[in-house]
Amino acid sequence: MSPRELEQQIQQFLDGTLSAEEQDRLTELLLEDADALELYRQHALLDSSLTRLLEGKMSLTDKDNIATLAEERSRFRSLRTTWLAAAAILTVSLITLRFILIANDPPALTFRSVPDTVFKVSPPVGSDHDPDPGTLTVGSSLDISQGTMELVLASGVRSIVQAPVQLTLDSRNQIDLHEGTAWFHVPPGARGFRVTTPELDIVDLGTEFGVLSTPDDFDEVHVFSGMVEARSRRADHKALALTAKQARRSDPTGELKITSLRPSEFLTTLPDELPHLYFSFDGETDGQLEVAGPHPHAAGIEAELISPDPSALLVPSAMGHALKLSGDRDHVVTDWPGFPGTTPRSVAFWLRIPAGTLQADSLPAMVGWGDPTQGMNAKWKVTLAQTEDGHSFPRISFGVERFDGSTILNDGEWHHFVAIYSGRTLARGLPEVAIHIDGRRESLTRNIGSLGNPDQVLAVGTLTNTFKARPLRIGVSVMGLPDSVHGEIDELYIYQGAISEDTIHALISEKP
Amino acid sequence: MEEKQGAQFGGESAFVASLTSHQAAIHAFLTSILPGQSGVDDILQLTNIYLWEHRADFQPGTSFKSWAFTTARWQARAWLTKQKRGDWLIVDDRLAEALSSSFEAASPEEASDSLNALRVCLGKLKESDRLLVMSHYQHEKSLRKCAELFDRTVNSLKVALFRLRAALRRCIVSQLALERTQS
Repeated sequence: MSPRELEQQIQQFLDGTLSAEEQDRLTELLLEDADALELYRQHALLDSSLTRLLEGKMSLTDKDNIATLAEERSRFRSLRTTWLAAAAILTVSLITLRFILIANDPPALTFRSVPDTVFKVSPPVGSDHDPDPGTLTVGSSLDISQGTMELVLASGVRSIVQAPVQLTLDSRNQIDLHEGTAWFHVPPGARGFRVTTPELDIVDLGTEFGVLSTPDDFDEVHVFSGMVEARSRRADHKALALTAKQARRSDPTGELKITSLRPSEFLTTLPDELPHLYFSFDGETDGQLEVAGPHPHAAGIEAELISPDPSALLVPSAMGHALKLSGDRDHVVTDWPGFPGTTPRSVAFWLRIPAGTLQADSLPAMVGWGDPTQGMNAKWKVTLAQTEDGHSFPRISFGVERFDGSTILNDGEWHHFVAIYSGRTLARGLPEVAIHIDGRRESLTRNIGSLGNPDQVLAVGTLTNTFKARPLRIGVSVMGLPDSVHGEIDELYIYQGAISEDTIHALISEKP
Repeated sequence: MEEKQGAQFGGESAFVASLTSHQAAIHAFLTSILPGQSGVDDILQLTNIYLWEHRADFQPGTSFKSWAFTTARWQARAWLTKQKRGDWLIVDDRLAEALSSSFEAASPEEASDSLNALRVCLGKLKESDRLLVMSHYQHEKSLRKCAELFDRTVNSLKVALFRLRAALRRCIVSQLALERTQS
């Protein structure tokens, strides 16, 4: 039985829709296979939680409610009377405004997110009651480490925020944006909506505007329509009234300096997926590849085919065309610096290496960017490692820290390759990475470079703004060595975030 | 007598606290041994009543969870017998035993942590998907009712629900792992 069939049968079992014969077979399997039993247990836990949450059952963490059990136990002898109804307090979890069972006011803020968005909601300080799913209460905080969210305040303000984001809902019409990129549309009825960042205090006067707040750069406000009043929080300067097509940037003295308006930094609608770049390799114009995808920077990226005959690098494939590299200097160079630091990222593509072919000793990258300076972990490279007996297998390299999978890839067949860095650090300081080949997660071996110390882990942080840093390259090393990949690459996706297995399976269904 | 009972468990409030903290786990355990059954909440009530009335029988130092689960299994059988339901609606004894061991081995906070993780994961779904899952459980898992509500075929709903519940399970596992690394 495949994992999918097992999971289907387990769900059907819990729904009571499995035949007696299938129940018996599944029971024997659950008794023999500890992993299958654990999967069943997890689904039973999910089923139980969903039932309790969505049938309006009490959360059953309230001691007072349990204490009434002692006083009213005679009522429980009747199976028609639920002791939940006798409880003093019902805790009902709300999913959307349409299903409010108890409440007089709409939520202060509701949100929805793109799949694979990773976030955490914290209750107001001093409270241990989490806001209901999909909502924030005044005083609660939202921390988004990857992905994009749409926020809608009770006042009618709508916002699209892009990770990384840390914000607190200060009141029903005020947000404290500690960090993040956020676009706001403020309807007339919500005038006076306020956004504060570490450096700026912005009061809306009926408008559409964007705010950039990052810890390692100065905060900015961009006004697209209407008017805002902006003031620096660093010094006691007068507030400035900014109108449409004006943008200001805070500086160390507290002045708000003029800066260029950059609408492309902000999303105004919630995309369907994590921000990503997409290279289909389906066509070129004057040696330039089209870069698609919902990432704000996608449309502005220049990607050039480097070859005496650029159009010859694109060959027919089941998905249109693929990039075919000969190993002799042909590759793709772009002007996109890549995701910096510990920004979570995923690179997914189809790969076919001719049977028995080995790559050049310099191990050119399928995808790479960053600073290749030796002895550091300042680059990001998705490549193939090789053994002396002529096998190639997948590798992620940050520089010194490298992680190898084991599936042999130079067999002449198409393979789906996904390399993921979550941005998180595991025990011992190792970066959290994953490689999936053909939808299966690889067991990884740590393989430090010659300048590494096996007893020490050098911190990972991709540098994209140093002198030696190189922007995204496809099919060639970021070190500037001439050797390129010998093989074909197709349907390349570069995500800002760690994609889920669901997304991986969806990508695999589009086999070249 | 009340005083003695109270002293044996460390006071009634301590018993109440223990019973409270195990509610989610007992409910999940009952769900696992009564697949597809609608009486889980009733049996949970009966289990709670029994545990409360027999709190003096509990031996300090032994596993409250084990005692609660054993009681829950017995209450489930008694309830099914009273409802004149056949034994095939409760899982095989060997499986019930294996599930009991598995749930007992889990951390005390697992069930409540999973509930919190579920809240986060539900918030990540598209609104239409969230409504679908919610409706399914609010209508006691009646695919026919949901099909009418959403104007979809039963088969398409079946596929959608499988996908959504599989995704929620994986999300909860990831969320719990994330919370463990951040704690």
